[in-house]
Amino acid sequence: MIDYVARRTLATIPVLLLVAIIVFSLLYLAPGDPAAVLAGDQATAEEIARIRATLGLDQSFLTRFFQWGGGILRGDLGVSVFSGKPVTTLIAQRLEPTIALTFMSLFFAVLIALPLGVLAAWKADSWLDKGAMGFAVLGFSVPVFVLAYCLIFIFSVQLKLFPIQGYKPIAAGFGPFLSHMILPSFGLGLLNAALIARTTRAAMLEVLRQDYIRTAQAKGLSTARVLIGHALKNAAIPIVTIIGISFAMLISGVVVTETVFNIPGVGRLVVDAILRRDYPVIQGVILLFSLTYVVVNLLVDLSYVLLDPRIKL
Amino acid sequence: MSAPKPLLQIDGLSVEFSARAGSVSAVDDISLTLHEGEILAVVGESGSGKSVTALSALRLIPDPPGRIVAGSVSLDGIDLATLDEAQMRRIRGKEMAMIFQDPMSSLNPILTVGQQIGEAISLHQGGTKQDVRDRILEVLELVRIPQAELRIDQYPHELSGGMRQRIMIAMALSCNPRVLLADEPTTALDVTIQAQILALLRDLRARLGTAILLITHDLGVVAENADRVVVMYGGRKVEEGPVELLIGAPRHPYTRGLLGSMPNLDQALVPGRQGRLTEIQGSVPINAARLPGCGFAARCPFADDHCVAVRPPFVRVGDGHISACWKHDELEGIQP
Repeated sequence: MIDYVARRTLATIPVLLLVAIIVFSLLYLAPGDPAAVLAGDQATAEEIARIRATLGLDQSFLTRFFQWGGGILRGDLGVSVFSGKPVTTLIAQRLEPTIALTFMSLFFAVLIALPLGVLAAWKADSWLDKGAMGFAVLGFSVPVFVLAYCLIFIFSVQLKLFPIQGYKPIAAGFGPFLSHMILPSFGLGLLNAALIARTTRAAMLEVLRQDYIRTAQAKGLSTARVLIGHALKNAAIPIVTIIGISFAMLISGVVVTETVFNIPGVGRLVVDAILRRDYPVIQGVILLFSLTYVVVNLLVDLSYVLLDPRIKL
Repeated sequence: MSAPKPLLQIDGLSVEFSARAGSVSAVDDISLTLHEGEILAVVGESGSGKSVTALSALRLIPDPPGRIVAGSVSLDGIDLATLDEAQMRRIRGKEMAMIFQDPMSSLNPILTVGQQIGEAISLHQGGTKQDVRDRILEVLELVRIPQAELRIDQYPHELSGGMRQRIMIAMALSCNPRVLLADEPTTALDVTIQAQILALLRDLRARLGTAILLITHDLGVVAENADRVVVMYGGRKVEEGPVELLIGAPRHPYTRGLLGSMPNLDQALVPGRQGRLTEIQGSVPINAARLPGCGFAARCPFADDHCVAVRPPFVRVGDGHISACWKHDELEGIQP
């Protein structure tokens, strides 16, 4: 087990290295010049060239890559071109709302999807099943921002239950924090619930056909115990896997959701950075997202051991 | 000795399954009675409706597509159709338990042996964690599982096939059911293990008085283990009788066919007899029970037009021995 974790952790290094190279190259190749953005509309060619020199943008691709990469190994993601602050500081400042949004969305997604998927499989082909899967199709098709604006219109503008936009840190009190977070995380969670619900249904249908379900029924267990204690436990591996994948999808959803709800999180940070051609920030955030995804994947794989005693690592 | 009391009575049971091309009659007008302490074998080919009959007794037919369209099942005089689902759950596992054909697929792969057996015990009998564990160990020893203390915390994949079937039996017996429905309990096991499991079932019947409905396609198993036999063909009962009469002097061509397709060690030693096994030509037609005449007529060497046109009624051919065949007289005295 420890051996496996160690091997997997080592294996993340080439993955992250590859991500770093791709991100760096893409931005190198992308049109637009941070120096020009920074210098403003009225700048002369000499001024832009001077800014390029101070930023080190006149150096060769490899030199710049190794400078940046060397910094990462020391835990230094570089300095924001725009604000002059270290990227790690900028990310750290924005981390709380993003973490809160991600986990609350995941919470809502699982809370909605699991019962829906289980019931849909249990009552396969009934109106409940069709309704649930219709919802799932809708969840796939509706973009986050459309749903977000609908929710804002209904719950904030019309019913005035929640604030329209903005964010309050937990430090400012749990109540205000929650009232700002519920709509964004519910909206994002609802869309991710669609994928999880579909997978749950498919996995449950497969398991419900198994002989041991009949054995459990023959023991006299109630439907709820058969569904949860026997069927859902056996269906857990595909479900946990899809939750891991939707975690990755959440990250892209977070960027949009933070923009719509004006939440000062990492998503907003990267959107602003893209608009300003603030390369070190973009690179830092993407690297962080990749690292998160790799870690989540590792956790999903490790969870298999807990979920199925037949799996040995 | 007083006559044995009827315990499980199935009367005129018919079960249909709906399919895309209409409904299929899986079981048609089956009646059978399992008495206290008796081993009643139900014999027939695959698709003859044996398992459906047993599952119907527990009301575990998946609905849809299955549906009990007629008949009644009563346990100790109580009509199970009058019970609601919650009352029915108290019958399942407690009064009437079932063991299935393939112990590997019938055990939940991710729960330990102890969890799976204990579930039924704590549900039907309750008690503290320790009580339940003690009872689990007790039933594991009852079914002769060595090192019960070790096995209780193992998973099904860590056990051998025979051991898994013992676990299934232990699970079924954990709440002292009065009726055990054993659906091909030895089919998935190799021969030596088969004999052990069957010996165990006989032994349990003797010690606990459990009545056993033994479903099998193997007449060898029937001959050695059952008191009485019901032969099913295409969803209908075709012959019923005490095991000696039915095996020794079958009065239905289908039963004869089953016996003829069974290897017999003595047979080869009798001079002048053919050493070949005979087979029953063809296979069970779908919806055989819906044919106007005898369902077996198309495959029967004795059949004539009358057999095809008119369904034979049950005729008493011996003491407790009945057969649904127009030609039962012709079969009398002919050795199978």
